[in-house]
Amino acid sequence: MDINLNHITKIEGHASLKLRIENNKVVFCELGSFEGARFFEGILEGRRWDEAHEITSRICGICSTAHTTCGLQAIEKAMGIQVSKKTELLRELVTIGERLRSHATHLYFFALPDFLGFESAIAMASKYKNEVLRAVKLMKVGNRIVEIVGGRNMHPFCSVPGGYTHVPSREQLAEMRQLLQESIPDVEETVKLFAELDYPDFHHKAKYVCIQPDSAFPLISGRIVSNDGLNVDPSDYEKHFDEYVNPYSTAKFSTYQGKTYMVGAMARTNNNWERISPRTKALVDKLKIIFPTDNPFMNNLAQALEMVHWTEKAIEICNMDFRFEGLPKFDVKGGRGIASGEAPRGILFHDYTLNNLGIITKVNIITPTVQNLRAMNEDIRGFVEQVLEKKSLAQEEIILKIESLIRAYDPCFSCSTHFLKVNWV
Amino acid sequence: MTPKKPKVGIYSVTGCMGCQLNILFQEDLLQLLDYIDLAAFPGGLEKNDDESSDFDIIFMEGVVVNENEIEFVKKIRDRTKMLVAIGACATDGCVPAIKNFTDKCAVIEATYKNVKHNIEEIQKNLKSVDPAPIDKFVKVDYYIRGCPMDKVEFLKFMKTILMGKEFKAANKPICHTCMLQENGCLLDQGRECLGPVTIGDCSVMCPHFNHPCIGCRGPFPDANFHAYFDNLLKRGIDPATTMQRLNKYAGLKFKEMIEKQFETGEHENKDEKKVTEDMYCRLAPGKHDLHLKPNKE
Repeated sequence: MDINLNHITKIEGHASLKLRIENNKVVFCELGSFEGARFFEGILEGRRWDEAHEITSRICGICSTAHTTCGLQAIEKAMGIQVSKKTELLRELVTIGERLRSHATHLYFFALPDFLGFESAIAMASKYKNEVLRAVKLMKVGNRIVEIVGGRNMHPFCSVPGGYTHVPSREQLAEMRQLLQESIPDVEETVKLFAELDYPDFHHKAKYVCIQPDSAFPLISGRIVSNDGLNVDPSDYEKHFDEYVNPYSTAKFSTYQGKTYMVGAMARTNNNWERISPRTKALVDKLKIIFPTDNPFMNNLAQALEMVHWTEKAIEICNMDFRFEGLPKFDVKGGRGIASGEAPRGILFHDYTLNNLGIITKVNIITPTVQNLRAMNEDIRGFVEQVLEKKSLAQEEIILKIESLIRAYDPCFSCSTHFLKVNWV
Repeated sequence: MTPKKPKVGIYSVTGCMGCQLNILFQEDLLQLLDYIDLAAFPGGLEKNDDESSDFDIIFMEGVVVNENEIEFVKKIRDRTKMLVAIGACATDGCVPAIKNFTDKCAVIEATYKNVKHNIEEIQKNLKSVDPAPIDKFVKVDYYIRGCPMDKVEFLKFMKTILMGKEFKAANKPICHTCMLQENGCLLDQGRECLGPVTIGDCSVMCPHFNHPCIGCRGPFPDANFHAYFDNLLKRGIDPATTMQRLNKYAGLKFKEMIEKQFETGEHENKDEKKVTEDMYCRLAPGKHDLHLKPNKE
């Protein structure tokens, strides 16, 4: 049986899949993207230091804040700029806003229809109106936070190297606090909803990689850790992570010490299970949710849990007071800066080299989906074979199952700037 | 009898999907859906009407970067009465179009530097063309501008169209909106603001947040570039570095306008010939000039 999915719907960006099944075995599996190449790394070379975060933000609409923050941190490292604690907190807040809306969009609009047997969230609205309204409300809360702190709901511009051009007023902080407080029941409902879904019993032991700050749950900075004992500074990423081209697909793939690995909400939750907030912990105990897990479908639940955790943390930040610190002042100088942060769908690396006029001369960016791609390909093989072992299915049913697996990873093919087209004959 | 709902499609070529998401992020999304028949939206629907050609409105996101996409955009044009370009990629080329102002081989090489492939082979497989907004290939009826697409403008567009009226594009620069908001002028602070030459009616307004306008809405049709560059020089800003900013979101269209004004002498002011030479050397295709002056900010 040959399966050709030319346009996988309900994900970020454009992706396609080619699959051949013979005697219940997958002999051929190519998942890739037909997003046109945009050459971000090439475009950035020759641009000025204060443009890196602005241009990389455009890599992806839904992870724009993660790219902005990571890009800024890399530039700041390269030029030796220290930012204030308040700037860091604002960056955390804006990233949390993005995380809430990204997870809400993915969970309700892309993932949930598969489990409830609808073709889309819009079709679902007639029967599950509450759920869809809840999603719209959570997306609105996230959007509003990014809009207030970042200046606009996507591609935020208020954070610049060294600080902020504008900080939220006391009234705006109060508004965000109220929105967040009102959304606590909604995020808790989300966890309940996703804890009770009927996930396929599929397990795949993988390496889970994420960043880890000293004591908090991973968000914008920290050391790179994995469940097999890796613990290094982001500046050492090149020693452990590699990008290569697979002969069957022209897309770049990424490996961790030569092996397949998974990044994203599930990796973060698996590696930081002890660090979830008290409210999340209480909910987990009540619903008897068990992590760490090796079922990739649980990425959905991990995202729901993160929403509770971050709503609580964001309220703490909104309780503080921010004062405009003036436009950042520093000397432009050369150097190399490497930063990594957590985008909603996984760990992200930005690596810039600047000459002493502050012009970018070398860039490397590794996005989460590039890192997950190998695991996704392996999981599609494993999952299809496991499903077919139990009973034979029609092609449409297999496609549905594969799509729900791909969506569980929350892939973002816009992000994978290196991707080429798959059908390259 | 209620009037027939317009048949709407949302498609995209290469981009960040931000503009499509901004449609999903409409606060009154469900209400809006009551008034339209959303027949195709691969970004959010599983079942899409990818064949029929009786669409009333198709929204198109993204920048055209390869040969297949040229074909795709042309097909889409044939299927709809009204084609609307949404977001800076579709209207002006946005960030991917920066490639037009650089050494294209070097750009590809830099992106695939770790990859053991020869550049020609990669280029052949990519079928890359020079990134361009969709109106280079097909007629576009309306533009909804901004990077990402202005959410407020989109809603305004939908309301106007649903009421059966003509949607009018803004005809004032950003500076006009900025003055109404009573923001202080950032150019006066020596910061590279593109407000005077960018189309206004923006609902975001970077200058309101103490950030210079980045020009993501594209060139204001009546902009006077002679006066603009003159003003930059007066305020101690190097027009050459501002050129780099102008080519970030709408480089192709800015370039076209600037060249026209300088060639025909439109709006000319005798004193500032030196600006033109300086400027063109940055705009000319070829290697990026790596010796720009660092900005003070």
